[in-house]
Amino acid sequence: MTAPVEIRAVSRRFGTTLALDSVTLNLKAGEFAVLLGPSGCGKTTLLNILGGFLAPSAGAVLIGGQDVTALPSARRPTTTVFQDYALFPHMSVADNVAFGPRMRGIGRAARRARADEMLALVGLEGAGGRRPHELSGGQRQRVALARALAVEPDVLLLDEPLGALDLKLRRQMQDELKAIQRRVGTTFVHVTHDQEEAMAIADRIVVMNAGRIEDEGRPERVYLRPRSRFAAAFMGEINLIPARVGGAENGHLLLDTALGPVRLALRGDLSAVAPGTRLALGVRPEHLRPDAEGLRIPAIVTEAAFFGTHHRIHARPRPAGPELVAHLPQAARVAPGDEVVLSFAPASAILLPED
Amino acid sequence: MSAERAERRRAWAAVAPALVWTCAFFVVPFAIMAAMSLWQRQGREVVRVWDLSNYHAFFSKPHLVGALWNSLEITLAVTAISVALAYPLAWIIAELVPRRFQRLALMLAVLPFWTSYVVRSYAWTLVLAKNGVLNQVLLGMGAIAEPLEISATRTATVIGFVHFFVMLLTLTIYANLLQLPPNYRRAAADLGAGPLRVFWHITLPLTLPGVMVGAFLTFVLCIGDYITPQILGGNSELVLPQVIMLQLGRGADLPMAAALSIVLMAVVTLAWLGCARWLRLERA
Amino acid sequence: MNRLLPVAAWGYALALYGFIFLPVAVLVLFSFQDGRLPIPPFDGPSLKWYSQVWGDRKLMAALGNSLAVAMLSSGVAVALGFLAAWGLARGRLWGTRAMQGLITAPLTVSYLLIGLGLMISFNLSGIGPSLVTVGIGHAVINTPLCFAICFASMGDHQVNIERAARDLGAREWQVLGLVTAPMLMPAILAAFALSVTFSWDEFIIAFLLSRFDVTLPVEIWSLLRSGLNPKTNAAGSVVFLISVAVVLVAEIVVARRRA
Repeated sequence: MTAPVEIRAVSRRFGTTLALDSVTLNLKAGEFAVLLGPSGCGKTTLLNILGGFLAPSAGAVLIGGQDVTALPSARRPTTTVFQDYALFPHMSVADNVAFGPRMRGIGRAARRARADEMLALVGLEGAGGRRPHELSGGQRQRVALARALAVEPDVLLLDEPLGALDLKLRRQMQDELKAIQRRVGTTFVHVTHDQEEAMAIADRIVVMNAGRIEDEGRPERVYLRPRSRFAAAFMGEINLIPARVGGAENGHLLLDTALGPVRLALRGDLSAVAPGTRLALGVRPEHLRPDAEGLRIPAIVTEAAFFGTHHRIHARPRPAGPELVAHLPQAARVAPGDEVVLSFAPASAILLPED
Repeated sequence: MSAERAERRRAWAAVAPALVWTCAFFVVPFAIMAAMSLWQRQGREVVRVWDLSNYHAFFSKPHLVGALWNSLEITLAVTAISVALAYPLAWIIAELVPRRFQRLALMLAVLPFWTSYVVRSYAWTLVLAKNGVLNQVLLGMGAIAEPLEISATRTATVIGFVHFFVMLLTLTIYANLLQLPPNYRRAAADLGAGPLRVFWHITLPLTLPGVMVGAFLTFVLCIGDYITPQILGGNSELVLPQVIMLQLGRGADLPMAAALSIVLMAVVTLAWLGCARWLRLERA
Repeated sequence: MNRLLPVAAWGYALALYGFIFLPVAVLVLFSFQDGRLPIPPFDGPSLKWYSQVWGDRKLMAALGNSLAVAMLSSGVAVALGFLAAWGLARGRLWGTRAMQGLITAPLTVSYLLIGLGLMISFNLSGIGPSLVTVGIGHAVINTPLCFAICFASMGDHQVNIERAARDLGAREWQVLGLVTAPMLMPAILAAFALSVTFSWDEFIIAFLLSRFDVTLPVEIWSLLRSGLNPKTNAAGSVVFLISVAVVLVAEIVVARRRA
């Protein structure tokens, strides 16, 4: 029903390109993991290796402690929800869902019952007699999910399953996916390039780029304290302010930034950071506020737009500095040309390597 | 509004030549042939009296009805054998041959297609002749004591036809197999189906409509063909096209030829109706 | 089972390839026969039958006739088929389905019947058999083919490309000549090539609609009356060689275009 997944130094080559570069990842049983990254980052390759559709060029995959690297997809405790759903067009919905149990030699009555149970789980009671082409996109998605879950896999693999749905349906299906995952307790590995979707459903986000894992962890952690510039930028909008290490004093790092001096409280050994080292200071737009304590940045608003929950503005610092994006409170009144004073709490800033 | 009208006028102008052409050289000749099938030959003249005497003559003369049965038997056998032989080959090319060699394998499988149709049948007479290659090789191997009498028989006709249609069907079935999205087979394998069950539950049912189209094409081309039975089949068991061509020889009986053609046409139409219904059922 | 399957599959494929190639191999081998009969034993090689073919005026004339008929009738068929496909795919005309059915109808009828119908009609209207009537017959069988190929390649996205061209001031013939036809050139070329090979190899219509000037298949047919003869092998081998050469060139051109 559920099992942990262990990926050990898996690489995959296509001709001369390295699609996966020694990826290591451990997922707990029952976890909802999301592989997140731009197209071509290797997330789908990794999913195909987990599903047994591709063999890794090097490395091993263990599911529930058992090495499955050499097993074909049919004999793995995994099933896949395909991006295009791959529902068998010549079978009814119920026959689609009952296909896996049928392949396992389960009798007609039992697999019928199983199909009904699964269709009920995904909210499609009574649709078993219909054909895939009679269903809407969202319904097909549910059938694909029911079919994959009908064989009680330890691990369910989802290849951008919501990619073909419109935005509203997509948000709704995210909630349902999460609820279903909680009910069945199966380990889900879900691939997407939509970071909002990732945050909405994941217990653990794995940010990938160019065949490597850039960062992985709980959504809050990856968003608030990303470990790389790429992860910081891919998880959401961020202002990157060039900075140079000025020195260190009792647990604080002194930085000279393009906007003025900043004092960051840091734990750990600061002597490793040599004065003069170039860094970047990342500040999320919602952390730039007109009322916060800390470094004060006078600036001119160049553009402003109302987003419902906040005003998003572009502002040019005075006398100089990189243009900033900030989210001001809903009640704020701003227009291009206005003068504002922005500031951010040093604790909210993220220290990142320079390029 | 006027832009739409202009667009429609352009479209009519573009379609018109093909419509006129098809009417002038296909529909009208066919109508004339249908009319002629109701006329009669008297001496060397064609007399325009309208009755069904040609059709009556067809059904009352055993050698004519027999030709229809020969045609049907040969065509059905050829269609069944060709599909049975071509499907595995197409499957092997699509599934077992590495991707980059598939085009080559396919081109090789249909290479003899490019010999002239007439020449291909002639080549089979060389192979099947009493002292031809096949018999001499088999005799040499000691597989047979007496030369096989295949030449100028129905068997020779069937072999010649099967050779042609195996190539045609390999091509169409291969195209069908390629069009099948790989995710269907992957999904079935993912759910625990072995290679044979993937084939039985997924590949075969999904390619069946395409196979039926190929089989229908085989049926139509085979039943209307004159050359292969004429060159390979000898004169003992004539098929319908041979009988039609006989009417054009000495003492040409064009009305009878036209009537036999309409009969042939009717058989093909019946086959088409049967196939169309079958295909529609499969889709529902 | 899993190990047996590939062995059986390759064995099967090999046997079927053997069956497919057997007559061609025999044909070509015995075209080099030194004796009078194209059957074993093989006592060649000799090129004498090829020189006979080369010296046969009627065969050479038939070859030229075949080429001319194939080219011209295919040109007509492609033009008719392409225009009709364009008209039916673009404007939403009344009765589109019926017109499609009419234009593709000759595909479902045996060549023998098409040839016979045309022969009877030409006969009644006093038009004598000639290469022109053969060409008409071949254009009749190839127009639906060209139509189907062109029609299948016309997608909805091309409608907007044509609209863009019109929007930018192109006249209708410019849209057709500068945008639509080049866009569909692969389909047009494929349709033309297929028509040429069909016409080149067509026997029964050419047989029924010609008298003095004949095409190559008809001329080869009359060679067959002399029974088994290495000269027929040589003529058949030449036809095979020409066809394969054309196919190879087409294949290379297509591959180049794709690359």
